[in-house]
Amino acid sequence: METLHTFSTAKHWGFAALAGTIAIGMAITASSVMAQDGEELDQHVQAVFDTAINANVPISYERIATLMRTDNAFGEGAACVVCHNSAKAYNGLDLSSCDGILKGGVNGTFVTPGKGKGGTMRRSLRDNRMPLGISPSYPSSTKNHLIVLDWIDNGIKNDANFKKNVLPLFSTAGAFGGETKCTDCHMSNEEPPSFHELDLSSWAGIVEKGADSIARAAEGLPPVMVVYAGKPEKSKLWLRISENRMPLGIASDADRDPYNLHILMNWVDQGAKCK
Amino acid sequence: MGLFLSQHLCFAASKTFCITLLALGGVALLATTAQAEPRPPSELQRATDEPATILGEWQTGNTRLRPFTCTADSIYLSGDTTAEMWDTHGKQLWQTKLATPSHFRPRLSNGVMVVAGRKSLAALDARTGKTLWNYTAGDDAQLSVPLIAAGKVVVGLDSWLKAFDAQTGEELWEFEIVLPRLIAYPPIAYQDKWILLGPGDGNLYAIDINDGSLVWKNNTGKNTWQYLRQLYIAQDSRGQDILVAGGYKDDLYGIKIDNGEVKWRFYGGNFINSHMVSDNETYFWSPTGWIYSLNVRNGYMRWRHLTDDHRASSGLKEWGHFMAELIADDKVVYALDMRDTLHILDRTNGDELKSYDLPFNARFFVCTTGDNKTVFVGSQEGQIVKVGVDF
Repeated sequence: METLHTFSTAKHWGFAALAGTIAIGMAITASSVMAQDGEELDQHVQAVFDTAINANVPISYERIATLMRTDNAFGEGAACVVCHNSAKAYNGLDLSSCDGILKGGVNGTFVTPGKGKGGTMRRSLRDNRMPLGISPSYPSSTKNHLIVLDWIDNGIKNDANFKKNVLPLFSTAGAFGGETKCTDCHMSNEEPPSFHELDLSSWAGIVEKGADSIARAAEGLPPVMVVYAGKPEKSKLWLRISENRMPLGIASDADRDPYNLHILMNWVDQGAKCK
Repeated sequence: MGLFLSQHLCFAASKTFCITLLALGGVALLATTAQAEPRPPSELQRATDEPATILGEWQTGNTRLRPFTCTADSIYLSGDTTAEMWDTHGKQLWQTKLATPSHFRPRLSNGVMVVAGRKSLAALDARTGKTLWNYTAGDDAQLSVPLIAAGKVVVGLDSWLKAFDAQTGEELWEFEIVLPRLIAYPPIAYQDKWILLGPGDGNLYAIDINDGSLVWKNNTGKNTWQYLRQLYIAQDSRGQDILVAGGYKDDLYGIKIDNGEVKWRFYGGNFINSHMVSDNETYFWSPTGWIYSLNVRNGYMRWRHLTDDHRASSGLKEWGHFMAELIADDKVVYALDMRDTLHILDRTNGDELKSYDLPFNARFFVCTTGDNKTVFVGSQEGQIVKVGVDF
């Protein structure tokens, strides 16, 4: 009999089921998901996952509208509608209405009804900008950023330009801001292990091998390709060094899977209905 | 015990009394099985940063070092160019040039040192550095992190697990996992009789170390982990052996060794890049911003220390992220962050005893000889750096 532990203590599990019904109401309705000292939240998180998300409880647009208007709903930061509203839709994205959510913005479709992982919503709320911990105010159009963008736009070729101008950037500290090199953490199979099994030290590693190749193969899936020729908007390599995670300013080690994100994804999976 | 007593007393007592006793018994039972509430971050001791005392800096033949293997009086290392042995006072005892770069920490057993990279493996005489034998992967093939145990070197080659005689390099047996999956991380030996391996096919294998035959296979992982990255065998506080294994993603598992059944699972909230086991405790850093210590018997948290307060409520200084595997000796845990700060935590309660700023850019590993006075770190320029610690 397997026992699952998370951050919560075992005695929490003893009354988790009893608390679940109460917690779900409190947790979803709460204006903030932040606990005062980082200790009190965890049992409620598990209760929401158990009782609402994994049970695929129907999610109404009213709930989504509340989340969009709520500070800290997807991690510490301002409410989505502070920057994405009908009066000022940053990046063309208006999250203050259901139509606006479905319409998306200049970066493409925000959600794809029926497909929670589709669109830009999930990655916007989940994917940290690299290098990890970089300030969101660091520009994403520096000379080095544009070298990478140009390389992708022009076909991700393994040519002299790549070897001379592109590849060295990934092993240069601060090339895209911050203090670290990309290859400090993404250097293929070695010890200590490479994050995301990603190798940014060679063309083959970047273009052919991609990310999570061993782990995805274990699931019968191909690796995550991190660059697509001529398509920077699909290329995670570009997106990761140029796009800030939302809400703006959220810490890079903040929970990637807050329950409100899963509630939002469930709503999308359920058809993203505006009622 | 409480429940047993209550149930028997019920025959001779009133219903109310009986219910009370049962409730007390339940509480008593819960108390014996529940883990302690972790102390809040504000109650854990934090040390004031201080400059590290550098006791020695010695240049190796490498520009990119791999994690060291330290013994009480020696340092074994490898890198992009050479394998080397040093004493702890800065004397190089031997140096051997490598045919291809090393990518993994050297392994040591019974006078044999195995140095491996993704393309080739070399077995060296650990006393002299003399090459005993080499093995090279084919053009498109890739070697895994190796294991040396029971006089054998065991290493993955794509989807094959191969065993060689440690002294001669004679190939002894091979075992194929489900194609086309890859063995990337090291197996572990259990009592020099089994090899345990959790490769990228979702299975956990126990393989006879002598002939490579399958002892048992458990496919629990097909729906839970992609593969098991690091494996440790520990003995819990009851003297029972348990496999403590890290999944590719966010979970740490306690697994029964006799059949591969998952006994407990701890969800770390984000990638657990590496974990470490010492005695009946396991330690790891989660990118959610905590260093955890768990009891290997039941996966209960012993303590956790906040490293990044993304809720910004504690007012504590944020630490860097961690690539380096945590290391423990008998008293403390050493945690080297990516801001080149060495944190020393009390094993018993997670208090930070010391925080040393290293005056150089460190590679992501630290090793200890167990003297509680020094640790060894590699620099980004290929140096061994001896750092004094005092806690």
